[in-house]
Amino acid sequence: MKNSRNARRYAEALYDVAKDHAHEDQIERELLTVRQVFSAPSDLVDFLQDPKQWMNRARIIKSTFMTFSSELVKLLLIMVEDHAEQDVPGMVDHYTYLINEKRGVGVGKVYSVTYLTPHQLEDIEAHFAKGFGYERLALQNEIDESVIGGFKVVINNRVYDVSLKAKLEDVKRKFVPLYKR
Amino acid sequence: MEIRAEEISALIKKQIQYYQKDTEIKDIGTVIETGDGIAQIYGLNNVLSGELVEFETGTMGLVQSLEEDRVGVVILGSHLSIREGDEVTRTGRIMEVPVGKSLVGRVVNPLGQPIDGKGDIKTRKTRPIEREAPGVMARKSIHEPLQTGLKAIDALVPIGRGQRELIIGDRQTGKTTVAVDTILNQKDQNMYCIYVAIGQKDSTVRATVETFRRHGALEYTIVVNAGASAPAPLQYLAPYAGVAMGEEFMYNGEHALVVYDDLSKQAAAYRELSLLLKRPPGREAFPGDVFYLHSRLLERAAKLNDDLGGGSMTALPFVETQAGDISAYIPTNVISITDGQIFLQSDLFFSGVRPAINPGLSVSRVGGSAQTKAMKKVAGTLRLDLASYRELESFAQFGSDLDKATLQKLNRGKRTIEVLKQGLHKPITMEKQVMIIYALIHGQLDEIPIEDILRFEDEFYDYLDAAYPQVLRDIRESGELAAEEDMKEAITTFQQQFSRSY
Repeated sequence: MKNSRNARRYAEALYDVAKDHAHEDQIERELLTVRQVFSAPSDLVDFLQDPKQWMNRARIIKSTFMTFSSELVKLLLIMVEDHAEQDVPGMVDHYTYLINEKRGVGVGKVYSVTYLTPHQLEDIEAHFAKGFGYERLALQNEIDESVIGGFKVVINNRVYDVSLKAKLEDVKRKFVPLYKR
Repeated sequence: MEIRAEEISALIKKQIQYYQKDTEIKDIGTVIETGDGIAQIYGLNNVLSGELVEFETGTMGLVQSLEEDRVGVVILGSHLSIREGDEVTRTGRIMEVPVGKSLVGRVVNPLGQPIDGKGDIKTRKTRPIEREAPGVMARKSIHEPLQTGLKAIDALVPIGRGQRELIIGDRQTGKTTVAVDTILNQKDQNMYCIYVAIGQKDSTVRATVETFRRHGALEYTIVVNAGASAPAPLQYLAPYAGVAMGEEFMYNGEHALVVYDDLSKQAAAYRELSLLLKRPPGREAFPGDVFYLHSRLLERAAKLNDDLGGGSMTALPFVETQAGDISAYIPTNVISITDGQIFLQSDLFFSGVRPAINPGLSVSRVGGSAQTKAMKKVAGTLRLDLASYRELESFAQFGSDLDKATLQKLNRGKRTIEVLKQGLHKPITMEKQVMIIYALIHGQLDEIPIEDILRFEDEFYDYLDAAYPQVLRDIRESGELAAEEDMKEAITTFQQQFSRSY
């Protein structure tokens, strides 16, 4: 969450540039690799932050990401120069968010006690896409035993909660008068 | 807590019935930081400023600041159980308090919940605490008097229904007493009173409530209390809760009086809140919108036009000054917002002038048109007389050779000051005030020794009640002076039987 604002600025800029060159899909694929490399604990980030390697930073980035799009490499150079190495994963996340918003795809998670069958998952995706304001949903199923029963869909800070836990919490809350909370 | 089985089954039945409607897509956020009654929340993308949010524990929060990736929320209630990572949901509601007549006679907190142990408040009506003030066309000029029952106020700085009159002074100058006496005098005046206590000791508030109860004033009074131990958000909200309760009466064509005791504490609570929300501090570390804080509150006091029912809401805000400094930030702000101020001075208070109103610095910009004709007639020159007496008084200290006219003026001035004194919780009806001031300005008290004036006054009122009730009734019902010979007769006959102390 720290400096997520900075990460967003970089992502927005990259997305704009990529769109101008119609490269956004290619960059999206490349970014997945970049995210892996930069995610903590990352040897690359440690290396870049090492004062002894001060002069070599640009060279390292250039040689590591030789085969990547030039826009992406340039962005990484800028970020390294700004000492924003740690913001790279945040930048990637926001880029993915931006591109998915453009495509009308809602990426999120569905929590349940046991794994949902692919059929169930499809059903959920089809049923809630409109409610969340997307054309299509791409949900990832996660196991969460505290749900107790039912399921809970979370997409971009919006939630549809039909879990048993939420019902119980609701009942519990209704027993406590407002001024005692 | 005891829960009965049928309660549970009723609740579950309701849940089943509304199962489908109950769940909808909600906006959520995550607590990233909490402390000092403030929580910073990530998410809650579409939340409105001023909206209520609900924490996992059921505690409510009020959205105060919206930033790009976080919102600042003030926690209303217990902030001890809120932890980092907790989920927060939007409620889609803005803050409201219960209003209506069932609150009368109760002591509530700023959320409208009873704290007097007399059980639930049965009202379905609520009002938003933040609301736009009535506009230009909804209003009407102030024309009805609000009788405070204090001679010094009703004669010198009259207050009209719908006016906003600031009461300002140092600590321990009797500000609260002025308000309490005013509320006590509203009995049978078709007026609902709301006493908002902000940041006061709970024991003080308890004593005030007890005073109301003893004098039968609790029957038409609501007390809103945000004590010194209440968190800053509640102290900040208390006046708005009070004004919302007053509006309910005003828009129903009735009259309300709201006392804010005191706004400097509210400003301090708001300062605390703003600093914790990381808003930039300005003068005296108050945030930039501290003027708006008070102006939007006081602007809601109004006299409505006849189409809207002709109701009114009078506001008596209090401001505490430090060592008589009325040029500090909050006092100047509130002075400029209100329609006049009553200035209480500690040196007057300690020299025995109680209420310690300084007639030179106190003004009422609109109350004059609300004064009854009788009072206007007798009190017309009182202010000037007092001013010239003050001037002469300092002058007369230099020598004893004074001409007769000066001596007479000094004499009259001393008696004027004596007449304007008044005991604690002893409001005086308008007609009696008129009678005593009438006697004063016609020189009928000039022969009475100064130390006898108070006794004279008391006995005079009893005498009038017993021997001249029709004179009092005439003044009360017509609002004009009674026949001159009757009034003179009443005064002279009493004077003859009054026994001096030496």
